[in-house]
Amino acid sequence: MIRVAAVGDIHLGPELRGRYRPRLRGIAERADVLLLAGDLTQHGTEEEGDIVAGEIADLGLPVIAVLGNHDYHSDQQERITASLREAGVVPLEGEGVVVDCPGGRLGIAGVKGFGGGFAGRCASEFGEPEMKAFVRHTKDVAAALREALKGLDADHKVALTHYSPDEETLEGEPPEIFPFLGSYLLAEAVDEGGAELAVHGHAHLGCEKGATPGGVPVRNVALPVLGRAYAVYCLGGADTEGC
Amino acid sequence: MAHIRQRLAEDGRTAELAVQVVYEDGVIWLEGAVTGEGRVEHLLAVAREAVPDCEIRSRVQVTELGAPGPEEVL
Ligand SMILES: [Fe+2]
Ligand SMILES: [Fe+2]
Repeated sequence: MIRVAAVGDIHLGPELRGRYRPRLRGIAERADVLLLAGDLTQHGTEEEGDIVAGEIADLGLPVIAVLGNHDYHSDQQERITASLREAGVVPLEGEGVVVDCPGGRLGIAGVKGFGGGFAGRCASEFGEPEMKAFVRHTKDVAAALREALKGLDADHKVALTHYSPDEETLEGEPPEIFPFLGSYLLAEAVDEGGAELAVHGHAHLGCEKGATPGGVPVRNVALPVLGRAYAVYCLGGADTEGC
Repeated sequence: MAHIRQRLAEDGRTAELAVQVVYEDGVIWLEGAVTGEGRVEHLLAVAREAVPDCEIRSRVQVTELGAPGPEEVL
């Protein structure tokens, strides 16, 4: 049994300094690892990145993160990534990491992801260069996710993204903006990469539970969706202690 | 309305992409959820600057950072 805590879209800024950390108290007793699904800051500034680092440093369990679109807004994504790393967090963008947990080796592959839409109503790499660049970016990050998942030597694999691989977890969002909330290409990567769980954020008005076409559980852990400090998902069956 | 939404997303004080703007009986309502009380004030300020002649009110919820719930076994 591996216990995976996850949350996204904490959108921290100066006014929330010191407000989130108390909610994480005791997390090391409840989970083996914490996944952060992007939009950790509101404006993507260096200052906000440092605030995030302060809130999640030294929690007593491994913390793995991807960035979200807000974390890119001020072009400080590399600085934010460095702050996270200094705080002991493992930031992922097209890479994987294996964490040794008491219940086995947990492999996590992470990418921010991107939009493009879902089966039958999605953007194509066609026409203007801007349109092709948009879809090309999604294809690239989906391919990176698939390769990172395949490269993991682990007992259980989890895909961590900011954008959604699944339409079901967008239920509650206006359908018109689904193409800006995720892409079916991410779900294909999750299925082909052998993940047992896909965790994402970004869709604040969506719902928590969905699945890929291949049947892999998808969980939208955006903070406004969860309504709690984080969710905990147990992988590997319920037959051992912990969950 | 589209203009207000765009301003709420792009203004440095708000940067809120998930706030809905709804018109009802002469009042423009802001809806959605944000992570701090102060952000509601900023939303109202930015929206009122965008359309100074309209009445704008907020139904935006402040997300409670509640205690973690029960685990889900997958
Ligand atoms: Fe977000
Ligand atoms: Fe986002």
